[in-house]
Amino acid sequence: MSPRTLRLRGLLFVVPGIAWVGAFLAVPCLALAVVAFAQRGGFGEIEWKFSFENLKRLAGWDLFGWSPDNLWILARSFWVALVSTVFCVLLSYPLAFFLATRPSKTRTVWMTMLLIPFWTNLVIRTYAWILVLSPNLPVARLLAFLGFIPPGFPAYPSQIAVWIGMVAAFLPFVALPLYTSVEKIDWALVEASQDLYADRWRSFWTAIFPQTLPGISVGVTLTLVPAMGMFVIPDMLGGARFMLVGNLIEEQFGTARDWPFGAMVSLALMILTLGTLMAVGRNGKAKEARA
Amino acid sequence: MSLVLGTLRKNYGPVQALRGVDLEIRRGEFFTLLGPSGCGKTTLLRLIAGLELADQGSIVHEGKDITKVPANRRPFNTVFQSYALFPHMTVQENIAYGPISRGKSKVDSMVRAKDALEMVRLQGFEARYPHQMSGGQRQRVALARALINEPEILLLDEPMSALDAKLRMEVQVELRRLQKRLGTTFVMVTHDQQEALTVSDRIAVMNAGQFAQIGPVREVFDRPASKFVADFLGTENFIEAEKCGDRLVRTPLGTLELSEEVPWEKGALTIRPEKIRLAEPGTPGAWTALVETALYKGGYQVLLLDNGLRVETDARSQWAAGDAVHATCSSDSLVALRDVD
Repeated sequence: MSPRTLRLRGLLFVVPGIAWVGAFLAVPCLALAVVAFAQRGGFGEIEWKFSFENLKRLAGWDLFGWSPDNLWILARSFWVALVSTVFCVLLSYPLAFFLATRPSKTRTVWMTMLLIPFWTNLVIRTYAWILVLSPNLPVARLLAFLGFIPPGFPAYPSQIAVWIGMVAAFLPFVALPLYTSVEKIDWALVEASQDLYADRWRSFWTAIFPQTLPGISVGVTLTLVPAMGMFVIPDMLGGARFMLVGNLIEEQFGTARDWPFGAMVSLALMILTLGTLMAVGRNGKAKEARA
Repeated sequence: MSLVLGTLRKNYGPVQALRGVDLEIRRGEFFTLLGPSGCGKTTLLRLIAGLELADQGSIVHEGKDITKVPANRRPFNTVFQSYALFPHMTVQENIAYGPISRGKSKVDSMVRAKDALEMVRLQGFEARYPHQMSGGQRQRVALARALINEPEILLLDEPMSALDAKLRMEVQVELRRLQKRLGTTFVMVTHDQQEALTVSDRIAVMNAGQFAQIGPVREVFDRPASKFVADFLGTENFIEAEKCGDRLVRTPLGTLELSEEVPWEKGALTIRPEKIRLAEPGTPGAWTALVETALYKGGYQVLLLDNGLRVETDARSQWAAGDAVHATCSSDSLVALRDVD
């Protein structure tokens, strides 16, 4: 076979992939970027007059001068996603070790208990939280007792309710990849660390933690990205005063019918998410290169 | 006595891994636990290391009871079977791990790690990661990582099982030299009798969670106490015998003389294949047998005889199946087995 036909054949194999990525990734992203710089017409249609108006508006300038609301929403979303992810990771460790140390018979049962909510529709699950957080039920009583809410009130809408909802929603995304890492841990390394005088803390950080990094990085990616854009949970559990960027976008495409501004916020969210992932990824790569 | 083990027991569910063993290990000796897989030798090593706790019994080190002391507070270090090097750390970091755990400064530990690398002849490998090294190099890193802590006892769990035969021989010599030079007590686990004989001062042969025999290498090799020990050390010759005098036994080969008193009325003798001497017909005490199979082994040849015995002799005269041989067993090479199990 001549090099030329070989090259042609190679191209043939690559084309479907390129077409797929182009049609479903590149084109939509470009469309988003283009729309983001267009304007809303009087009836909510897109007017193809390009300007930086939406960017200015996102940064806080509008008819009434400057306000930090939008930037606050972005920052808050970032913060909520980050903290939810951290809590998911912290809670996943004991859970993953618990699962991995069950005998194989009961492990399936525990696994199913983790997976059933995971398979349930998010809206339904969030409604379930509304019920759980109703007034005078244990959770609300506990929070009232701790002084987070006045007695006799429901535990939502509140920040705490959003945290609870987020962590509950994303826990399996971290716990399951982490579990697969924990299951593969080479315990001889832990024994070696103990043999070499490490205390529990040092043993964990030097012999166990590095072995769980692959699971953690998958889990963090799977959680951080959707958590940044989450709008169902803050909408249902957070109330009007706890708006996240997901809600802002939803509002633009829904009630406000302002697609260009919605596109601009989406673009900002995407850049923020990618930036975070890259930062996390670079850190992970540096660690992996040493592994 | 450096280490004294008293009736150690360990069960894993219904399996009795150790059935109450007693052992004394002397300071500065190379001691080897030898036995087939599943005999409890690794369990015993793990109990000494503190990686597992005994169900019963005691471990006393230099007069101090350390039975319940966790691994990270025992002055012992281990070379693991799989080496268990930390994959995300460089060779130097791996070796410095122990000193750093003990609160030594990082800089100082790294310098000492470099020296330790020299001791195992791996200078220049500081910045490598374990996966960039060969099996033999990794083993030396594991050795350096343990020895840098100047342990009072170094524990070795089948340290050569992952090496090829040629390298294994080299490592045996090196280990033996290192142990003599440092004067550290070494306790090794192996299932390879050749390896055990080469490196050890004393060995303990284990079977089914108990000691079958403990003693200096030569003694165990030359005077096995039981059929199990003789068999495990490569003797396949067993002769049924009946006592007919203080030092005389009646056997299918005729009446044989032993160098020690016969401890039973009816029992078995063993003799190593290389200790059977071929003789001229008519030599006093000689017996006769037919060669069933003759195997040429290069430096020596093996004759399998029709009376069930195996003889190893030099390769000078050629033997073939069907030949008649005459042989004698000298009294000091015949061993009356104390246990026939």
